[in-house]
Amino acid sequence: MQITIGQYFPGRSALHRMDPRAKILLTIAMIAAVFAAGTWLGYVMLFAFAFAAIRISGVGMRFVLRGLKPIFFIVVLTFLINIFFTTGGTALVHWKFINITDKGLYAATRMALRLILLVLVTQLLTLTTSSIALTDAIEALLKPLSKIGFPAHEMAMMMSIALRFIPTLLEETDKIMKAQQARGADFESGNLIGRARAMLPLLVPLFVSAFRRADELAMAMEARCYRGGQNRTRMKSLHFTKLDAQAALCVGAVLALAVIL
Amino acid sequence: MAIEVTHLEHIYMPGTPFEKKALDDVSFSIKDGEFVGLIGHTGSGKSTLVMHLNGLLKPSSGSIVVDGLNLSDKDVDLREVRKRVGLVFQYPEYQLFEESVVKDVMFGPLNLALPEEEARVRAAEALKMVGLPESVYDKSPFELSGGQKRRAAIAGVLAMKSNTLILDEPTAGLDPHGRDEILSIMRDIHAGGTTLIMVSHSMTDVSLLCSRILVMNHAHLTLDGTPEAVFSDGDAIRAAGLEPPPCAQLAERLRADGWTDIPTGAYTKDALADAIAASLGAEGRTDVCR
Amino acid sequence: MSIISVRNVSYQYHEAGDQAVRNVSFDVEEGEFVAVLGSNGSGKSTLAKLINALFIPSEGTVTVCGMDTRDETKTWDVRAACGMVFQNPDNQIVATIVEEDAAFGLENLGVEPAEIRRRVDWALDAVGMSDYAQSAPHMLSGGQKQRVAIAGVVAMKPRVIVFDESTAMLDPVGRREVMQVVRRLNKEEGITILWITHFMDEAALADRIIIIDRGEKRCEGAPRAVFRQTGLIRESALDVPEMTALAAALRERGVMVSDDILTVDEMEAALKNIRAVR
Repeated sequence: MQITIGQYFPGRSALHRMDPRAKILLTIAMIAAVFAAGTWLGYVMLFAFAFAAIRISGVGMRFVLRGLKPIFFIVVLTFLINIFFTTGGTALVHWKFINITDKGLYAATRMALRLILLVLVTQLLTLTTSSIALTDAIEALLKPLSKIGFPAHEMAMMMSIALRFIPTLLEETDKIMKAQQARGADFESGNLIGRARAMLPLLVPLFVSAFRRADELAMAMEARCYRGGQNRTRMKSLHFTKLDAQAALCVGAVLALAVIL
Repeated sequence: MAIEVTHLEHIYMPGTPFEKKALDDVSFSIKDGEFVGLIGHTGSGKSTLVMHLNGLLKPSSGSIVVDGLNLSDKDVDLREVRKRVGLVFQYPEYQLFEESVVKDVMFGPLNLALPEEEARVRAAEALKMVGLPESVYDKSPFELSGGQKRRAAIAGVLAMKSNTLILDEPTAGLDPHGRDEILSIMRDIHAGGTTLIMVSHSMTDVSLLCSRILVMNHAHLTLDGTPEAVFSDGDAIRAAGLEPPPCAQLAERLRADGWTDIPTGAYTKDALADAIAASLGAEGRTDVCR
Repeated sequence: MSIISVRNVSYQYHEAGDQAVRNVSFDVEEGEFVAVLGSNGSGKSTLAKLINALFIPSEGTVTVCGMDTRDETKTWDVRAACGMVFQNPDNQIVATIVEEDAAFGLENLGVEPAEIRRRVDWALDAVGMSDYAQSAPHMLSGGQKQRVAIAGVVAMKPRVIVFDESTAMLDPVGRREVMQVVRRLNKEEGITILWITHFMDEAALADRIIIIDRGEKRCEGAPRAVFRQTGLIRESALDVPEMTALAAALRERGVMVSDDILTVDEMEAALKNIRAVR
């Protein structure tokens, strides 16, 4: 399974050592910057910043780019939708019903660049932050909301467990698929309804197993004295450091530039 | 010749940092009606190997010919492959999905495009073979006990009536009683004329059933021979990260202690007991020693 | 006083259902290594979960370190004193990083961060997994995952650990790794071990064996004494260790080795003796 989105890439880089709360907030700021940017120069600057950050993170460029693979289809699709369905502007190509205008090309490119930037930036967060740190940070950031009854801890815990089990379930999916193929199952051919039905031999065992795992995990957590967020301490408490301040200023500058340029 | 494997090589994720050679220059052939044990530690490549024999994985290089059908051929008909070689995965009970046991067993035959009637007949035969009574046919497979689920899942592959059947760790996680049940089912299947390959890390299971043993170590096929020959080479087995079965270990040690008349082939309990008794000429002795 | 005391315990999953455990009593002393041996469906796993208050007896009492598991105010103390390692290594690791998982139990107990750090490092060292502190669990072998699970329990400094078929899904190498770690924890750290299994060779290493069959205790005693009762063992759908079976086969052939031999070492020594006598 070659899915890198959401997978933690262990390391000791400056990005790894930043406070996860800061990383989440700065990622949000970066997303804002991506949407605020309107000019080519703005995009160039954002890409330069993103690539610099990847460089600092020590996560290989190839590894990061591979993470873009799964969204490649979406990028192409949005590009095509934008290019064909934007009206107005000067026509560049006009052939039968196909009508491509400069405005359409511009909008399509912009959309594609935005999508790629969004994935790069958010991927950088998940690649350099262990899911536990990530959920700790979300929990800490959402904590004020728990006063009005928002289940901040429970949500964070659920996220963390989901992340923990993604690789396990991917492996399991692969195994069940192979086992059913050995019994002659065909997951690839047929029409849409036929293919949906062909998924049953995969989905039923997968869900049965997921429920069994959930049961066992719940029991294992109880056996280790888990009883919700109350009175829990953490091995790694979160601290803002100089590093976070530096990062914040950098992102602030990028955001400002994105708006101005 | 049922299966002919020549210079088989398989590389996982070629061209990535995770690149790994799982099979390296593996060659062997299996004759019709053999009962072969395939052993090796976790990650030795044995599971990768059996997935090739069933067409689930394609070799990076080398060839696999099953009953005249070349599996490395790009447009080989997978249905033909699966008619020839059945594969029961490890913990096969986790692949049960139908609403009733009999329907689950019929899944394979139906995928071979057999008519419903024929599939039902085959399912009944297979279920009988694994010793599941008619009273469970219409039950949900999820209501069965652990051992029954395992047997139902094995029936699901048996019903495809392949000439060769491969079982990956068929006794994993079972207690001694459940293990004996599965082993005796395997004996019956073999007696019925099916060529069998059992993947296992239980030396004892392999020594009880197989007439030939293949040992995998770090993507290589390192030993290939009769149980007598393989178990008498304790060092090679340990080099592959495995332990010979206890009786073979004892025989090895006794020979090292100077019991030269203990044959190297004495790897089962009864054979070894006979050899020791003969060596001591012990009829009628009653002295107790520890 | 015994560290675990099980008195006339019965348990049924549903009101109307059969009893999974029926009128079982036994004691475990501090520092002991006790194996509970039984086939699939014998009730041995149910029994395991009754020890640390995951299940509460339908009848009878379970006392751990002097605490009655029925006392709800003591539930968390019981679980902290009596840790548990389960069968499937994948389904008991909560965190995505080894050391974070080892910390999970201590965090639940509200231990100070500095102390958590200290104990996590110590626990990972105790199971030989320090080098993997930063690894992702899904990259580890079965035996390594199980050692991580043990570290998570050991870090909580329990006096007892219950292992519920913790080697059943492992290969021989993994089984050996886990067995070595557990025996060391028992010998060096003095942790009491309750080892639930259907592997005879593992049970043979225990100080004492309890055989459970169809929910009931069938016998209890030192491994040698228990394995000598071949009939009872076969009735319980179990098997004697291979060397014990060989000893029986030899005696049938007039080679009178002792009938309570358990290991290859012992058998080799016994046969050497016999030969020396002649």
